[in-house]
Amino acid sequence: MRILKRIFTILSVTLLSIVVFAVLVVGVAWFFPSLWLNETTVRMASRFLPEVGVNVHWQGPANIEVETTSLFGKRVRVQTEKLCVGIADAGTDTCVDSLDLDATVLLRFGFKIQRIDKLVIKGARVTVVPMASAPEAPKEEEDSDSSFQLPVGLDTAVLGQIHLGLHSLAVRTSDGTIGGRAELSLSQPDKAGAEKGLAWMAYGEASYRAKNAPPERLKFDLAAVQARHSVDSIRKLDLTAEYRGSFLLPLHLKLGFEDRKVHLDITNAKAAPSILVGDMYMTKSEKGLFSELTDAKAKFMIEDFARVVAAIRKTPFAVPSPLNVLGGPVEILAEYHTGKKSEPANIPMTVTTTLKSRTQLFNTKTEGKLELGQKTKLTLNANIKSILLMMPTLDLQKIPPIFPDGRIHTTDGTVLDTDENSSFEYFVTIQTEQPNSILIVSNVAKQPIPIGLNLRLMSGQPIAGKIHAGRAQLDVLRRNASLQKVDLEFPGTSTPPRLNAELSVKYSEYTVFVHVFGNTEKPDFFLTSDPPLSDADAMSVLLFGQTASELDSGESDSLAGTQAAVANRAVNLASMYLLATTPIESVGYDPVSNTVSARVRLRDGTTLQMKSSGRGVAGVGLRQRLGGPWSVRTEIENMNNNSSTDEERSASAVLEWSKRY
Amino acid sequence: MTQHALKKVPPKMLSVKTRTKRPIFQAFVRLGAVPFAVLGAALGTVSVEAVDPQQLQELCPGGLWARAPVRISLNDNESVLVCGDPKVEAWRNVPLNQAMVHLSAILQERGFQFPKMVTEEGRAIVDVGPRSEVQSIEVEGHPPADWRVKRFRKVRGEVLTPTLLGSFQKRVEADLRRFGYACPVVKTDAFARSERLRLTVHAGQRAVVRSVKIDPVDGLEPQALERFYAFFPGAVFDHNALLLSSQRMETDGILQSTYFETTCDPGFADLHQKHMAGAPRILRFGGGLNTERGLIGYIEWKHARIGRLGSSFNVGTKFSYRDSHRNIQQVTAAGKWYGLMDFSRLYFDSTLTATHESHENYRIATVNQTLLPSTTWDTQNFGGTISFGPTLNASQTFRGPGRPRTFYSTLRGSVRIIEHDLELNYADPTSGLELRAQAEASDDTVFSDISTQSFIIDGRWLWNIANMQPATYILAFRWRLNATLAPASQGGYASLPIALRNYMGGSYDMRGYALKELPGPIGAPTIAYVGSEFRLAEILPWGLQPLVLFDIGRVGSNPLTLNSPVYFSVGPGMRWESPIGVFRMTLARGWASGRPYDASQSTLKQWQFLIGFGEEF
Repeated sequence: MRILKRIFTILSVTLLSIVVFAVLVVGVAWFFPSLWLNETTVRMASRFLPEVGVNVHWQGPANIEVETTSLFGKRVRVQTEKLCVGIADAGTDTCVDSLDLDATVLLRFGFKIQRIDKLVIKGARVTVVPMASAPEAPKEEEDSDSSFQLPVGLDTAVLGQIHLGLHSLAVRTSDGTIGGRAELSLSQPDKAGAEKGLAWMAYGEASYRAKNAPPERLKFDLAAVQARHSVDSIRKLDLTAEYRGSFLLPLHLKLGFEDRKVHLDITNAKAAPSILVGDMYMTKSEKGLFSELTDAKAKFMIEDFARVVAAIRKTPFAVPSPLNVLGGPVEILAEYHTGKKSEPANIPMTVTTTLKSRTQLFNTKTEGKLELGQKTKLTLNANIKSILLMMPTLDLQKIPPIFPDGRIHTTDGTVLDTDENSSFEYFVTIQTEQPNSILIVSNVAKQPIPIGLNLRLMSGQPIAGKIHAGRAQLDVLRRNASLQKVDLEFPGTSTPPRLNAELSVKYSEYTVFVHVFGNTEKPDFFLTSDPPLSDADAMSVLLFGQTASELDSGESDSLAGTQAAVANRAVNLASMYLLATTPIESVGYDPVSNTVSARVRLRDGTTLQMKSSGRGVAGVGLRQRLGGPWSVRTEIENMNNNSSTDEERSASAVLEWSKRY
Repeated sequence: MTQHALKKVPPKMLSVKTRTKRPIFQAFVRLGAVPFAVLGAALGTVSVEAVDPQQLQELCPGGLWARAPVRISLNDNESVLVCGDPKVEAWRNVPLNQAMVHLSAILQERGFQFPKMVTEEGRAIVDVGPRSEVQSIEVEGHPPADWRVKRFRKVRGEVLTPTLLGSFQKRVEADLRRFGYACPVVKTDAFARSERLRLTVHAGQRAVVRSVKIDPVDGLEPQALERFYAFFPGAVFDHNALLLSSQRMETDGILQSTYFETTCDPGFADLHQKHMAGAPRILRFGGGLNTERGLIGYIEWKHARIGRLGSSFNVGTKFSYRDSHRNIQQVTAAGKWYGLMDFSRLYFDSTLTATHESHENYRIATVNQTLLPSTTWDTQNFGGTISFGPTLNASQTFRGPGRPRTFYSTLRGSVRIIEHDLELNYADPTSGLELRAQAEASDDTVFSDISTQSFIIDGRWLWNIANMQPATYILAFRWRLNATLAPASQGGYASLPIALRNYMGGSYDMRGYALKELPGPIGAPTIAYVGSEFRLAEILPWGLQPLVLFDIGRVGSNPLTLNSPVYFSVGPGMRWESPIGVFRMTLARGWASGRPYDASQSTLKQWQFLIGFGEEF
C-alpha cells in the first residue's frame, strides 16, 4: 500500500512538473514569441514550404520581430527586401522590392487586426500564368455576400502609414496578357470625432493586349471614404478614369459621390466638352454610395449628340448613317422609387432628342419605366414628333440586299427562343404624332415620302403594328408616276407582314393604279384604271402608254408575257416597280422555268436587262423573244413535208419576225 | 488552251469527207468548226476569278479592304451602302460597323456567310472567310410520301446563297404542282455552319381539276379553246398540263398569249383561263442556218380565228439553199376547219403544197393536196392526234431515178401519241415518249398512175435517268421502220417517183452520213433505223451538254426485208443552250458493215460534222 502511495506521489509530482513545464514553455512562447518566430526559424521553415507547392525566398537580412503587447496582443514587425513568393498550383509568382510591416493583432477567439502602424510595399511584381488543366467542375454557387470585404478588423483598426505599390501585374492567358500597375494608400480619416472608417486613395493603370488586336488601356485615379469595412458604406468617392482602346474611343470619366449626390461627366479628352454630363440625387436609408437606395432623381444630358457620334465612331457601336451626322441635345431624366421590399423598384425615365443636321431632323420623346424585381421589365413609349432622313442615291438597276438574309443561320441547330426564360421583359411602342411625322428623302421620289407608324415590340413576340407611307411623286422616267400609299401591317405573329400598296401612273387619257396586296414574301398585284379598262388594257397602258389594241406585235408579246408572269407570281416587288415606272422595251416570260426577263430603258439612255431567276440559262421554250417583233422560234413543222414518208419532223429553230394585225 | 483543245482532235477529224467538194460547202464546214474552237477557247480562258487569298483587295478607296479567295468587286449601289455616298451628306461616312452589316448581306449573296472584320496596321480588313456550300438537305413538314428530295440536283455542292434558297423553293413548288399539289406551301432556310439546307414542305391534298372558267374572246366559242386543253375536269391537277395548253394555243396562234390562274380548295383546283387574244391575222418571216440545208427561210400569213370555233387558214412559202445541188422551194396553202360545236376536237385538215427540191441524187417538183378529217384527244399524261383521208399528188422528176411524171391519189391514215412532258419541252426534251404511225395506199384504178402502199412507224423515247431535277443524265432512243410496196407488174420500186422513195442520213437518223445519202441515189423500199444518244446535261457550265451517239440502220431491197450492209454511226457531240436557242454539233463516224446488195449503195467510211440550230434528238 505504501509502495502504491509512493508511486502515485511520484507520478503526480512528475505530471504536475510536466504540466507546469508545459505551461511555462507555452507561456514563454506566448509572451516571448521572438524566441521561436524570427528570421532563423522562418528561413528554416521556408525550406520545407516547396513540399506543399510554395516557394519563399528573400535576399539579404530579414528583420522579423514579434512581441507581446498585452495578454492577447502581438505586435509584428517585418522588414525585408527582395522577397519572392511563388505558388505553383496557382501559377503565381510575386516579388517585392521591399516590405515594411508593423502591425498589432489580437489573437483572442480568432484573428483581428488591431492596428497597422505601417505597411509599405514597394516594387511589387505579380505574374500569373494560369496552368493549362482540365476544366474544373462548376462550383456550387455559394450563398455568400458578393460585396467586397476588407480584411477582418481593418475597418476598426488604427491605421498608420499604409502604402501598397504594385509595380507590375501580368496575367498571361492564351488569348492575351492583362497588365497593370497601381499605387494604393489607405488610412483612417484624420478627423477628430469622426466615426471610424477608411479612406482610400488609389491610382494606377491596367491594360489588356490580345493577339492581333490593339491594346486596351485603362487609367484610374480613385479616392474614397467608407464608413465600415464593406464597400456598401462608401460615402464619398471621386473617380477619374481614362480609357483608350478598340472598344471605345478615348474616354475620360469623372464620377463624384458625396452627400447623396452623384455627378457624372464623360468626355473624350481631358479638356474636351462633355459628352454626357449629369447629376443624380439619392434618398437613402444610410449615407453611402451602395447603401440601400429608396428614391433617386437623375438628370443627364448629352449636350451634343455629335460628340457621342465622334466618340464611338470607330467602335462596334458606331451610330449608323444617316443618323451619324445629327447633332444637338439628348436629355435623359430618370427617377428611382422603391416601395415595400416585396414590390419591384420603379425607374421612370424620359429621353428627349432634339437632333438636327443641315438636311435632317430627329425629334422624339420617349417615356418609359424600368421595373427591377425578380424580372426586369422595361416599358417604353417612343413618340416621334418629326424625323427627316436622307436615303443614299440608289440606282434602281441592281438594288442590293441591305441586311443579311435571315433564312441563312450562322449558328447551328434549332434557334432557341431565349426570350421565353429571360429575366428581362420589354414592351416598347413606337408611334408618330402625325401621319407624316417621318419624312424620307430619296432619289427615287421628287418629294419626301411621308411615313407614319405605330409599332409594338414585346419580348418573345414578333413585331406588331403598322407602317404607312403616304403619297409622293416619284422621280422616275415616267414623270407622272406617284406613290399613293404603302401599308405594311405586322401581325405580331410569325407570318410575314401584310402589304397593301398603291402606285399610280398618269397618262393623258388614263390613270393606271397598281395595287399590291398579299404579304411581303409573296406579293400579288392587280391593276385598275380611271376611266376603267380591262385587265389587259390597263396593263398595256401601264407598260406602253396605250391600250392593247394599239400595240404592235412585239409590244403585245411583252404585254402578254407580263400578264402571265404576274399571274404566276414570277414578278417580285422590285421588278413590278421597275416595270411600272420605267419605259419598257420588252418583257419575256418563260412559264416552264417561271422566269421573267425584261429590257427597260434607263435614264442615261442605256438599257437594262433584268431577269427574275438567277439559275443558268433560261429554259428554251417554243418561242423566245429577243425584243421588238423578233424572236427565236422553234419550228416543229417539217421543211420537206411533200414526202409521204414524212421523215423530218424534229424541231429546228429560226430567227423570226412576226406581227399580228 | 485553244491550241491544246484543238490538239485533242486530229486535224482530219475537223474536215468532212464528202463527195461534194464545192467551195461554198467547204467554207461552210470550216465555219461549222468555229463553234468548237470558240468553245474550246472559252473553256480554256474563262475561269473563276481566283486571286491570292492573302492579297488585300481594296473595297472602298482608302477605307476598307478585303481578304478573299476570289475577286470581290462592288457595284455602284453596293459601293454606296458600304463605302458611302459622296452625293448625300448623311451617307458620306458610313461607319465600319454599318458597312459590315451591308457587306455581310452582299457577301452572303456571294456565298460567304462568315465574314469578320480585323484591323491590321491601322487598316480595316474584312476577312470574308470560307465559302459555304450546301452539303445536305433535310426535309420537314408534310411532303408527299412518294416525293424524294434527292432528285434535285444543283443544290448539294452549290454555293449557299439566298438566291439558291429562293430558286430551290421555286423548283420544289413547281415539282409539287406537277404531281397534283396545286398550292403547296414551301419554305427554305439553311444553317451555314453545318452547311445544311432545310426544306419545309406542306404539300396539302392532291387536287383534281374541278372547274375551268374562260374569259370570253370576241367571236369565239369556249370550245375553240377547250380543244387545246391537255387536261380535263376530273383530271389530277398538273401545272405542266396548264402550261402545255397555253403553249398549244399560242403556237397555233388562236390566242397571242394565255395563262391559267389556279384557286385551291382542299382536294380541288378551280382554273381561270385569262388571255390576250391579239389580232387574228399573223404575218411572219424568219430564217435559220444549218449544215444540212444551208440557209432556211420562210414567209407565212395566217388567219388564226375564222368562225366561232376558231378555224384557221394560212399561206406561205419556204425555201432552203445550201448550194445549187441542195435546195428546196415550197409554197403552201393550208387550212383547219372546225365545224361541230359538240365535237370541237374534230376538224378537217386540208393542205395544198407545191415543192421544188434539188438534191445531189435528184431534182423533182411535186404538188400535194390533202383533205384529212382529224381529231385530237388527251389523257392525264398523253396527247394524241389521228387523221384519215384522201390525198392527191403529182410529181415531176427532172433528174434522178424513177418515173419522170406521176399523178397519184392515196388514202392516208396516221396516228400520233406524245407524252405531255415531251410535247411541252419539245424544244428542250429531257423525257417522254412519242409514237407515230402512218399508212398510205394508192391504186392505179383510182386517179393514179401507180399502185403503191407504204407505212412508217417511228417514235422516240427519252429517259431522264433517276428522274433528276434538272435532268442530268439523259438516255434517248429513236426508231423508224419505213416500207414502200409497189407491184412488180408496174415496174416495182424502181418505177416510183422520188417522193415515194425512202432514204437515210443526216441529223434526223444516221448522223455519220449526209442528208439522204443512204442507201444511195435510188433509195430503198425498206428502211429500219434505231438511234441512241446519251447526253450529260447540267454538268458543264455555260449550258454546254456533251453527248455521245450511236446509230444503226439497215435497208432492204424488197419491201419488209432487210439486206446487208448494216450502217453505223458513232461519235461525240455537243449541245449548247445559248441565250438565243439551242445549237447542236455532232461529229460522227459512219461506216457500213457487210457487202452491199446493190452497187449503187453507199459504203463510204467517213466523218460527218453536223451543226444545227434548234434541232433536237
